[in-house]
Amino acid sequence: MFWPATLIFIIAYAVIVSEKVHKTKVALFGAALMLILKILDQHEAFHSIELGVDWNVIFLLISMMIIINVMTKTGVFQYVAIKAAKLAKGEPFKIMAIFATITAIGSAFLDNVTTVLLLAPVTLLIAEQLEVDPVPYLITEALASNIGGTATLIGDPPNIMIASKAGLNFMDFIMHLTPAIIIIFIAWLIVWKFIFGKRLHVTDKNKEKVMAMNENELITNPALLKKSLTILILTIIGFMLHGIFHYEPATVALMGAATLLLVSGEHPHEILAEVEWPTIFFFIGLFIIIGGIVKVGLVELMSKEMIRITNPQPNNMLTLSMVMIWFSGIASAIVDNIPFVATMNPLLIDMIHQVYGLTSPATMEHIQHAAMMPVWWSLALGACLGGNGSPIGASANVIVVGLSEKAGHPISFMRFLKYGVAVTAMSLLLSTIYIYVRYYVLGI
Amino acid sequence: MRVSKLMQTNLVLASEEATFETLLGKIGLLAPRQIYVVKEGLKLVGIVTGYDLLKIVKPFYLDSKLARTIPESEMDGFLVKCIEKVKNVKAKDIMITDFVFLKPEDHTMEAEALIVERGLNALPVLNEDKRILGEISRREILTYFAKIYEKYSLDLFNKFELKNIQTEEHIQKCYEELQKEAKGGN
Repeated sequence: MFWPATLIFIIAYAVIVSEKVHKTKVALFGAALMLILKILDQHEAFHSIELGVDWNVIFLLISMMIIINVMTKTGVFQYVAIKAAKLAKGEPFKIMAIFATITAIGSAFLDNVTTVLLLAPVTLLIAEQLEVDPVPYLITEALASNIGGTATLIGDPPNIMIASKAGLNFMDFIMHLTPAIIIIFIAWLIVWKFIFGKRLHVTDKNKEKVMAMNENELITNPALLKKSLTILILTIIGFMLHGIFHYEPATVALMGAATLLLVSGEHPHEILAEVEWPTIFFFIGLFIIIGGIVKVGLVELMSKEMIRITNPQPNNMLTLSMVMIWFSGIASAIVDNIPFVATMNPLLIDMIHQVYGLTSPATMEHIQHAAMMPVWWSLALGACLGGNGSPIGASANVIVVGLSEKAGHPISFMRFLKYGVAVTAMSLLLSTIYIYVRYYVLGI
Repeated sequence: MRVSKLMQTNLVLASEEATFETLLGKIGLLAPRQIYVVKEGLKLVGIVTGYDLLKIVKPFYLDSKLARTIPESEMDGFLVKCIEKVKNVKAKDIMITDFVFLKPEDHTMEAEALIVERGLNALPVLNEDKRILGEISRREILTYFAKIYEKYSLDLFNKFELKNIQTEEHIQKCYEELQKEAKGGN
């Protein structure tokens, strides 16, 4: 069954990359083939932790989508954006920097695409009022969403997948990735200040137009806003404490989503209808395809190859960490980072088996071995930040390019690349320095 | 009753090259239900409704919530800017080309059914060469229905000038009149 499974995997990957057929259709069809050919049986696909669907990831995604769907109805993001633009007194670069910060923070806790979709209309309206080109603002928001999303366990799907596979908790991400992201974000904004600081000019009259905007009109349901914010904050606190109380992140998210559904007064049909089911089923299909190639030994072959190239030692995996950042970063700029991480996760688990000479399934002792941890962080940094490398590298980029075109400001592939490649290269370079200094020089 | 007997023939037409600016003027000042876009020989090629013009003026990103954040003092200026952006868009780029039409010999009932089925306001009437001859709308059909029902006289119903209804007494009187009218109808 080695070759049929390998063929299904390669063809599915190629078709997903080509974008000729919707990725959900491809993933589900590939999964169905894995099952019908008995490469994987149904019990393994639905119940095996090593080979099957990762329900922790699925329920975490669904729950966060429910919370986001209720939150978006409150108008709070757009309120904050206009308030911030007024606090910046209509200064164009300040607005850009504040919007980038709002997007990054929003994306760290919510879905990147939703954050961008909520902020883009306000951005376009403010750019209209200021009479400036909205394109740099929109590109900035897409880049900020990918950078911000890298900071937390729930910020970006690759992190959710890595956390689930490696048994990492919310605070692990806060302790290890958030500092890296803060450094990258500040460095990026400094560079941005040099590029856009002097380029953006607006008249005082146009600044006044922004100052005259009435953000209070956006909060139409203050009661829902209070409930949503309270539950979001409680859910985030729950994420912070889930490791201590031994709950899976999905349990915390499900509790938050269910409570919000209960108290919001919104009809569940409407909220659940807005869950991104194609994405959820894409994940389900993908997990089954990957389970198939793990079972037939393709992942083992790939991991042996990686061991040959990077020569990881039980107590030191420096080369692997460094290669992982750049390999993941470049790969994620070209292909969807979700299938990439879905492939890398079992590959790293298999590699742990081989490096530590295990004969039984790897335990957390080995998965979270001190030498292994920088590799997981390198994978997360590379896979999430690499999304900034091209207009198709991340969903937020695709959305921004589409919205900008619709608004009459098309962003060419090359224009996005000009900013995206530079920001990605800078982020990956800073990530490399961060991983090297923190884990291999300071050892903290 | 044949459609040709009922149709309105005083219509607003435009060529495919007419700009948004022209279409806005026509719809704003002549108040037609819709503008019929014709090519040579007055052959109908498309229809522009008020909705189509409103849709093209409104920036796609602006929903009703976000629109409320623009202060009243800035609103006209913002609108003018929106209009300026689309003023040169041609009728051929705005019009609906997938339209249904009637022939002069069709029956009014068919017109009524089409209007209800498609949720339309009005339908063009075309001859065999697709030349526009007239238009039949909900109003013409309803006026015709009211007429054939033969139970009404014009003095049965009143319109109300709401500007003059300001006091509680006026409001009460107006409502009593409506109740009386409803009872009379029974």
